[in-house]
Amino acid sequence: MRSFVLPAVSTALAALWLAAAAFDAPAVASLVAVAAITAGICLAVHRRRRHRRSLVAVAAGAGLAVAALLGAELLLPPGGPTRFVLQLVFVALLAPVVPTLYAATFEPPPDDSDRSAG
Amino acid sequence: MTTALVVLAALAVGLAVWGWRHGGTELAYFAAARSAGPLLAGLGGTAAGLSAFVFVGGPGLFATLGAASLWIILSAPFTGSLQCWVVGEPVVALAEKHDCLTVPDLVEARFGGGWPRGLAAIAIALGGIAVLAVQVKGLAVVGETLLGIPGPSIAAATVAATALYTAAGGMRAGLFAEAAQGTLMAVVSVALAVAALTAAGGPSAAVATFVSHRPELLDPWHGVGATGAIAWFLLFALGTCAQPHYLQKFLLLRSAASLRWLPLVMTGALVAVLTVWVGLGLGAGALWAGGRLVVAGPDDLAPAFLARTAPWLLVAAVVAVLAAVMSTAASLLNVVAAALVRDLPLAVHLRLPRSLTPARLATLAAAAAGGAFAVASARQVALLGIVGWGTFTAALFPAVVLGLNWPGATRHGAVAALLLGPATQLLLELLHHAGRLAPSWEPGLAGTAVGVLALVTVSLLSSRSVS
Repeated sequence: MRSFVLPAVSTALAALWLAAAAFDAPAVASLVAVAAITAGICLAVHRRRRHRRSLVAVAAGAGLAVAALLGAELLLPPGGPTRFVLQLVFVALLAPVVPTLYAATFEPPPDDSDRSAG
Repeated sequence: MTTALVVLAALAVGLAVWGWRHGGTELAYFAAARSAGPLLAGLGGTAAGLSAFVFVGGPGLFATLGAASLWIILSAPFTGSLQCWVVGEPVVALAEKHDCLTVPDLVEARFGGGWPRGLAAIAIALGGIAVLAVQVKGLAVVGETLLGIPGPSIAAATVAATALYTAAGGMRAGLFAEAAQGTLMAVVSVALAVAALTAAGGPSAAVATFVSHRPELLDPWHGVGATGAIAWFLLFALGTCAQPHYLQKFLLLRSAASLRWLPLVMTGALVAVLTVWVGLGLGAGALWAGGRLVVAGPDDLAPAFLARTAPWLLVAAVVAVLAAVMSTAASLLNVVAAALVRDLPLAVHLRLPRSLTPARLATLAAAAAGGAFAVASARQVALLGIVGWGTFTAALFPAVVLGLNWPGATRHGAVAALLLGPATQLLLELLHHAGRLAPSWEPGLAGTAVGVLALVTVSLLSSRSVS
């Protein structure tokens, strides 16, 4: 699964990004940003046993949050401070949540040991 | 102020002596004897990643581009966790299996020695010197404006102090210093943000000033366009997974279990430090927009505001900027030295010297090269920082991120990506510098995309030809 999906998704996102830059297409750029964050988190799914579904849910939630921010910034009418305030709210809300979810879904490898040398 | 500088110099000398005694092996010098838990690695990693770029360049960029500049830092809630999900977990596993001390060690463990290790080392050496130049340039601005000392003098003194303890003790000395510097930076950043917003009459009054005087700065796409701004968001979200001084922190961890709380420490410290970008940018920017603060140029916004604050806050700010510069410089000096005296010689099958003297000399040489590059470059601090970040991302993201997570990536694919990614980025940087590149093209991200395409295509072709 990983041997096919990862190169396919990476190639698609890289090609889409170059197209977004060449044609100055913010909608395509937003799509790449949402997909890249979601796919990045999903890379750890195969290293989880008990928390696979939870991690997929975290990835989906993170993608939705980025999509909501980019969508609102692109669609809201220009003028006024609303879109600036939205940026700050995005950081303030997600900063404590994302790393907490990382800790909650983390699983150390079974053969983990202390490697420190003095 | 003089007392603070003398105390800092004494601490640097003390750390150098301690580091000389405890950093005598390769493991201690390049990987801090794998002694780091989540707190040390998280604070140290954040301090190493945040520099003059944030304290001087960030508020300056906010004054130029406003809300559009925030796309660089909007990925902050994700970056710590994303690093661990994407590269931290596989890096710790690979380092444990192959006893890796440096990022090119990881590349060799995955793709074999020779070209992959050599190209990774070259990218780290060149990108590292560019990012070192950002530190020198930021310090020069702060030194001239706040201390009344010629910029090159304060920059040379600070980089020399950092080079002293880094050359003596490597990361064994650097890690403790970075963790302390990260804590200091977080506390002072919040204080500076509060002071700037208070001086502007509070956040609402600052925003109201922008609405009436500079409304374009509240537009999230101002100056760079929507595609260009989203490119910054992506470059800094994904690029954290490919910065060698960030990746280095995973090599210092004592166990994989340390990863659990690492993102929480990193994100907490990161968001605290980044308040200076938003707070100082918004507060001091509002004072500038309203005509209550005279500023010569964007990079002078932070120093100009600090020059009129309470003396204790000015001292704290200068110490925090010095801490930011020293922490980033220490990590970069160490990875550049490792690239020059360990990774490049190993790539061409030379025997390594048994002593750490060449590494110590390379640390001093890297510091001198960073200073020379800063003097030669006329670009704004933040923009110089983006170039260095982009070089690392374009060069290392495909080979490290895809390479560690996709079993089908081949040695030929990695070499193609390590060549084409940074080559594309540097070509686009030249076009950008000449004013011949549309804002929708972010050179670092475009280089990364080309590197990813090269890695996948060449890997598939080379694995077919082998089979």
